[in-house]
Amino acid sequence: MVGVNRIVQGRAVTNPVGDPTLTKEQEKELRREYVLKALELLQKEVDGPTVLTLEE
Amino acid sequence: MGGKKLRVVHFLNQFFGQIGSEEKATTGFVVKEGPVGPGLALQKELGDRGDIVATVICGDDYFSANLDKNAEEGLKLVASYQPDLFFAGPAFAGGRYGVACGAMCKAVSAELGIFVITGMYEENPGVDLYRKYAFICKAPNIARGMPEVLRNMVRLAFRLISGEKEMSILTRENLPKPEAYNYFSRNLLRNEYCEKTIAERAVEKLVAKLQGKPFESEVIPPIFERVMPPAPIKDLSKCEIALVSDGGLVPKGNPGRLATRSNLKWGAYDIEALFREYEVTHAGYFNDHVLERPDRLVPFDVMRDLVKEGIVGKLHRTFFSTSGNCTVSKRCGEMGEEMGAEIKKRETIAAAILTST
Repeated sequence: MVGVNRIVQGRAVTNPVGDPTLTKEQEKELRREYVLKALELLQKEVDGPTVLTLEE
Repeated sequence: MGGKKLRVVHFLNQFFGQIGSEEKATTGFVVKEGPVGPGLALQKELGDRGDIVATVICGDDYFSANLDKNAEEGLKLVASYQPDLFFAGPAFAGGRYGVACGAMCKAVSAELGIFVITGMYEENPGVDLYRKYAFICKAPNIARGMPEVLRNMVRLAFRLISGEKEMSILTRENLPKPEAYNYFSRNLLRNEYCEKTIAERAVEKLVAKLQGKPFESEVIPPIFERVMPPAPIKDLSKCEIALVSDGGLVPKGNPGRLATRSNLKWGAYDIEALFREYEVTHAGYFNDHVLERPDRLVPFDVMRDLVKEGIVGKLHRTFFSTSGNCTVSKRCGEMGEEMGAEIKKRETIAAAILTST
């Protein structure tokens, strides 16, 4: 891991916080989930590289 | 080498230089003609191929108080003897001593262009600081191993000198292998002639791996340093967040001239203006999804909503952008530090969200 301590696993390389197969509204909702997950991790105490997915 | 004897200069601290122990650590530079202390054993290893013409000695505390200045001072003393070869230590586990040996080696090598050899225990801080600049032979953590370490240091020195004539600075065909001469890798790439093509070697190694047989990789993965995690954010609703990305999203026309591959630059752009007119400068992924909707890379729309809803305090108006595609990790680290410094300088930003392709 590249020295980053708080990581959320994104959707895909071509669209880390989006999904072109969804409708515009669904996609934005999905993006919101990713951002909220990142914000959750920013508020969390970690003692080393921590990787979260949307399901966690 | 012919019949000419090598002129050798040796560097030691106050203890090995026989000036005194810890109470003499503040002693400045002292030069003694000929070998001193472990220099006697070093001279024995050199035999009639080289002469220790001088020993430069400096106290550990004195040296470590001002590394650059003292390396410069020590270098002048060393240079006055016009050596063909320079040895320092070995320093074993001595931290200040190891750093002094490394700093001396670095200065002497850079200025005089001669081979510089020292020895240290693997946990000596001098190893990581100076392995790139000097041949640092592996040593145990106690001085009892002195004879073996000196023998290896001289063996490596003779090997380096003998290969010098044919050694190409660019391709380093004759650079001795770290494992064959028991020194810490300098992370230098060397050319090597092989009977088999890279495709054949790769398949052979893969087959060996699948069969559970031993194989030696030809690729050394970069070592990522451990970064201490910053403290968590306390109150998100009062916090200003910046968006950063290595996905190559830049203003239309790419004013910062970021490259699509092996890019070395980063830019700071007004995020509102950028989202009105943009392009992607990154040849490492299929750009169409991002070109169609850049929020898929940089979640500007959602961040704006969260600010409006009062969940996040503020979104920083500048977006920090780079294009990370086959850029050497060293430059990536530097760019991260540069961006980090800029973000810190702006004082109001509490956290950054970096999206990566």
